[in-house]
Amino acid sequence: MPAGERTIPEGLVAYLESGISVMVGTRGVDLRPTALRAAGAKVHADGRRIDVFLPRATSQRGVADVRATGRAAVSFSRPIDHLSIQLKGPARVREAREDERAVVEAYREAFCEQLEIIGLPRTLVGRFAAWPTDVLEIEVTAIFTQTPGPTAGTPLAAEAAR
Amino acid sequence: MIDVSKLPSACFQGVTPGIIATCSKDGEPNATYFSQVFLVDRTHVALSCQFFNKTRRNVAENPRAHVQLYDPVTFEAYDLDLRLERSETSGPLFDAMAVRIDAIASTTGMAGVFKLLAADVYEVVAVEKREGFLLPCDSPVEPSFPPTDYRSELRALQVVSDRVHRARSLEELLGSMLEALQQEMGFEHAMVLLPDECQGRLFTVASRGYPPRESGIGAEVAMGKGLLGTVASQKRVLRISSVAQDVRYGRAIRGAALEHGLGDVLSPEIPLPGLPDAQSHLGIPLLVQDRLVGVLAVESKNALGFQEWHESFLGVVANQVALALDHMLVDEADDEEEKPPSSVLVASDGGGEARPHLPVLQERRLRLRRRRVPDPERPGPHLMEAPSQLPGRAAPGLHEPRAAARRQPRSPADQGQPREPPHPAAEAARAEVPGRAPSADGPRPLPPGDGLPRRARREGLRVATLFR
Repeated sequence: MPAGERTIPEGLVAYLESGISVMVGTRGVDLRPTALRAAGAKVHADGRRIDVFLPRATSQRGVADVRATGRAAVSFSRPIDHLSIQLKGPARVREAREDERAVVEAYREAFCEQLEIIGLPRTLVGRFAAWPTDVLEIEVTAIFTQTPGPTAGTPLAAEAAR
Repeated sequence: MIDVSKLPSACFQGVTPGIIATCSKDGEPNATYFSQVFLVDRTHVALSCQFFNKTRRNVAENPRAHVQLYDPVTFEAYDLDLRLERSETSGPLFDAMAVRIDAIASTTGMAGVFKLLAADVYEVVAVEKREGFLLPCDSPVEPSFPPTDYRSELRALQVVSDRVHRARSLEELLGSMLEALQQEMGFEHAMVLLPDECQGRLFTVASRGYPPRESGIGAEVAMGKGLLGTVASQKRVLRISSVAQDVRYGRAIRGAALEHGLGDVLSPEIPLPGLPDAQSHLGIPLLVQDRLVGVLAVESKNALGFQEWHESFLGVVANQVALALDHMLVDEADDEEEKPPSSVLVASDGGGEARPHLPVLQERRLRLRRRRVPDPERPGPHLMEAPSQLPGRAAPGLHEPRAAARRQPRSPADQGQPREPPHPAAEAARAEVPGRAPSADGPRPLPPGDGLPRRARREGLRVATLFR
């Protein structure tokens, strides 16, 4: 891939930054996997990296995995229709900046709206402890469609996302 | 000591999708969601495998997995470290998982496309509540779903059992059983369907807890189609919580299958039975030995309306009802020459008394009589539909003795006469079967009488066919 070319299609950015379900997979040096729920994501302006917000209270094991191995996968799924995408690539963890708190809080609000549509009340989902967070920064090298069905796991056709 | 069965049971009902992470042997992690974890025993859970996806390929290389599941009542999270132990492609666990998937596949028009390939059984290596997942809460939180009222279980079972045991007729059996289920156990919406083996369909013969115009009496369901059709054809219990979630999942796969060029093998979607806004369904086959004599179906607007306990309770009731129904049908068939017909079909909105309704059973018996007589032109079991002869909803001969109705000659003018318009619910259910042509067999002459002796009828005919 030519240097500087974006790997995250423009057409995906709004979807990735909406209030949909964000799920992270990591693994330790012993190949033991870890699943954790993230609190939103923000695509970098260069279209090659994405920040995924990991609530500190529940992400210690996943954060330790990434620090040890530099690997992570992040899946996005829209609850109402299960439209799902997975991004993969080299990853690192950094501390969140204070200005990112607004992004995380906005995500929690949008996430509540999404789950309310499918019947989970805001009084419950709103208790999701999103902040403080660490930030998982992934340099996206591969994108896969993850919507359940015969095409799940296949690389996303670039034109489909644009 | 690990005991995953101590987790809240709602975690295992597929209401809130969970997350699963796996890792390939070369160290590539993968994360996705799953719709349901099945509790196998205290140290094992099972995940369904419908597609050979990345998760499945990963655990084949590296058997470790980690799932996070959520209690939909509290939204608390639980982490489970798992190790793939075995994959089952048959047996009770596989069957229990498959019936649910088959029912949703049928409902979303994907029978055969979306199906269970294996029940992957994992050993639970560690289980832990994810502390800190939710913010502390000062005031009590309203539960997301109304709590289930268990009442006094044994007493309720005794009441239902008494009603079933004392029933002297089919209408009393079905009506009092549904009434007791509602009053004693709070099953607000329930129906009983009986099979018509020759046509491969189920007919709703009794219901309770539905508005009068939506009682569903007479409504038909094709065997193997939709939720209740799957219960009947597979003779297995089906319990679905949060059916909207499952249907959304099915539709997502359907959309992907269409994009994948599989449109030719997909079927139209099948409407869900009963209430338009039902969230939970529990369908129990009424079996005598391995023979289907009916289906008992209950539904709820509560996404967590039915739990394992309800399934067990209704399973006991269903066994009693099946036996009683079986005996009663044989007895009624033997006595039908002497006794006036009973309008067995009952419907109630739950508040008032059960009302006589469309005599579908009566219709079935008449049709059975026609079928019993060998037709030299059409060998084998078949149905001679005689529309004008069948008592309709408001037909004057509704309560006439069947023998008298049978004796009436059929005039040529009658043969092309359409039946009275069907009940809307029946019409809706008929629409379940694509391309179904009403009266496709065409009118045929009514045979002169019942050609089989009672003993042959008792020994040679399956009870369920007595409704035809």
